[in-house]
Amino acid sequence: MAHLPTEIIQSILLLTDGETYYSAQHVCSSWHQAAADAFLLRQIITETPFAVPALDALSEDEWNAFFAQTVRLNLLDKRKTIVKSVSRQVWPGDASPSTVYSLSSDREKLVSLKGSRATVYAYSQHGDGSLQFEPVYTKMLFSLWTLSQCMSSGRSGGVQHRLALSTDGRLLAIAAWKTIHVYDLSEQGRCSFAQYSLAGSQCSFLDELSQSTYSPPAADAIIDSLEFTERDSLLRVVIREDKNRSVRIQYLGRPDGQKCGGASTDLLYWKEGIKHVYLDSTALAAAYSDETNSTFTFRGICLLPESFRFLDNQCVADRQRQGRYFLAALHHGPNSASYVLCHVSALGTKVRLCREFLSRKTSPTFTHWTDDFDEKKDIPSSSPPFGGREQRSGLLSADATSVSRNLSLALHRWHKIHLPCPRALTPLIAVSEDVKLFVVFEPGAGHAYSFATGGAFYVYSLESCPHSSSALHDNLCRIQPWSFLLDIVDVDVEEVQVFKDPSGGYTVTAMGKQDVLQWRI
Amino acid sequence: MSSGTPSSTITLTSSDGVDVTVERQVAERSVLIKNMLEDLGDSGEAIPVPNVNEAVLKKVIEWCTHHKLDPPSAGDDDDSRRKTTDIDEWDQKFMQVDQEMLFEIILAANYLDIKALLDVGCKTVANMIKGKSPEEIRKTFNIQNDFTPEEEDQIRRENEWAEDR
Repeated sequence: MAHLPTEIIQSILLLTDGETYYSAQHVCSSWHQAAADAFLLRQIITETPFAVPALDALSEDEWNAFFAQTVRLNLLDKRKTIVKSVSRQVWPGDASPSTVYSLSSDREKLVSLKGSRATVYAYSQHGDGSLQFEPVYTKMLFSLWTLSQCMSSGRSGGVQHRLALSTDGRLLAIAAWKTIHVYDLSEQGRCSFAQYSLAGSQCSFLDELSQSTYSPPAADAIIDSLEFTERDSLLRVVIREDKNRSVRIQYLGRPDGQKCGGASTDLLYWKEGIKHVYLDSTALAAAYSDETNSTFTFRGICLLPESFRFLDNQCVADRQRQGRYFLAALHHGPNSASYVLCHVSALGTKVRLCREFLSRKTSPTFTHWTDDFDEKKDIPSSSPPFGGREQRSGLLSADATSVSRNLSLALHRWHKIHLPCPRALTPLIAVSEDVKLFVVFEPGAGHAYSFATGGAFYVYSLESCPHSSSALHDNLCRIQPWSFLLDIVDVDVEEVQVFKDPSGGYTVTAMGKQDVLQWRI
Repeated sequence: MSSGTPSSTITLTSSDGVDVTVERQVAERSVLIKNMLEDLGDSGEAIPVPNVNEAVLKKVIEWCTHHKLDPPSAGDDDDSRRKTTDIDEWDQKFMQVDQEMLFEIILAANYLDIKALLDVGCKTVANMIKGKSPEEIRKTFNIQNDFTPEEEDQIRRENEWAEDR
């Protein structure tokens, strides 16, 4: 193979798709040289659904750079090596059916709430692979407030406690109905707590303007879930408002505030911080709608790390602008939605749309997900090249088969099956720590029936082309990240996370009620 | 065989010295041989094919015999042909040979200038590498990863953003 003349290797490469071409580039030096040809590169890039410059507009080096960046932005090297695994979530032994659990965001600690006893466990793994739970803190919590909350809400019983645990395992946030309490589990004896209530209007804000665009949650609002983020300095709270059929997301805390005193992991911080609404999806949407004179809603808002910078003209021009970036599904009317990267400035709330990620446009006549593509016509009938993988990885063959099926369905990289159709009320967005890629979970997507459980996962690159004035980069900036379909699952997913492996890969972890799904990318 | 006109068959001599007799029409699927016959006239002498051994030559003749009535291929660079890695059934079966033979056929098709056969060969290989990682491709074809650490480094840098450099 290696001894084939260059022009024959090139004829072969010309018959491949972008992903294979990228692989072939990295096989050996003779293939690498063969694949560095400007004409070939342009032919391959022509497949992408984006504007491609004329052959003589770029030098051979620039074509190589163009291709390399197309690869990066479209994750061409990521889709082929996915390994899926499914495991049961293991809980400590002494559970009763009413026991509630939560994991810390680094998945190293687990908290259980049984009655009013909270116990934090640290995982340790035995030599034989079985998990051992080591109790770290145990504490009896609240007494009356939950009870009174339940009774005052007018619904007897059935109140589900939602938990969130800080990464060090010390702080526990409990949400019941409309109220959140934060406890310090390491505190001996006393049982003080910080409290936040949806009903109480004792909120201060990230900025002045939010005050004007902020509307308190509706009367029927309840807390659906909560989690600690940003090194435990923020609580991300999902609030369901059934009457408006909307879901609001709030970030509580004041990571930039000096007034609270104490470290963010302190109860003292939370006693003040919890009253501070750092971000509110409804207020953001109102601010954005005001600016654009139209009605928008943000769903599934996910705050990006403070260090994140989006490289574009406006930001380069105004580097000192304070504020934060976030990802969300932006909805405009019932049939128009896409995933977006936005910036919210800290002073005089201005929500700016930085980048819109490609997604499928829903037509007004939309009925089923499958209507968006013609199965028989669009899906290549050739046998999936992934067949061999499942045996080797030794996974549950059903799951491996489903991944290979999904990947083979989605064989053509620029097929729209790779794009999510953001219409779910509660999409889940998870970003990798290095902010290079993000995963969205669309509940209900990927199935022929909208009422089916489960949904579909899509992976996007979050990288942006470096800004530069040269002609090359102007062209490169037209490359759009095209997501790929990671998997379609039947499990109702409650939480999605992306972890970076030391080896440079990523692991997407999705938690269902009982199952833990993982994909190594 | 001898009942036809003298020009109906010709003889090819493989690299290992074996004479193979074929119909002229079949042999003319090869642009190289066709041109030679036109240039040399029909001398009746065996035409040497120094780059192709008997086994491969027979394989190539088998393909040419099956395809002798095919219309000449359309334009060189028609885009519809590109990317369609569909291979017709007979050709697929024909290409079910060991890798050594597959590459010999491709090289022979290249040397003899039989474009359609070269195409089928390339498509076959393209299908074999489709969707594979570099390591899987190396394994499939037993290719050595001959990148030096410096080259690896260079490639890694090529794949970074221009600004990172």
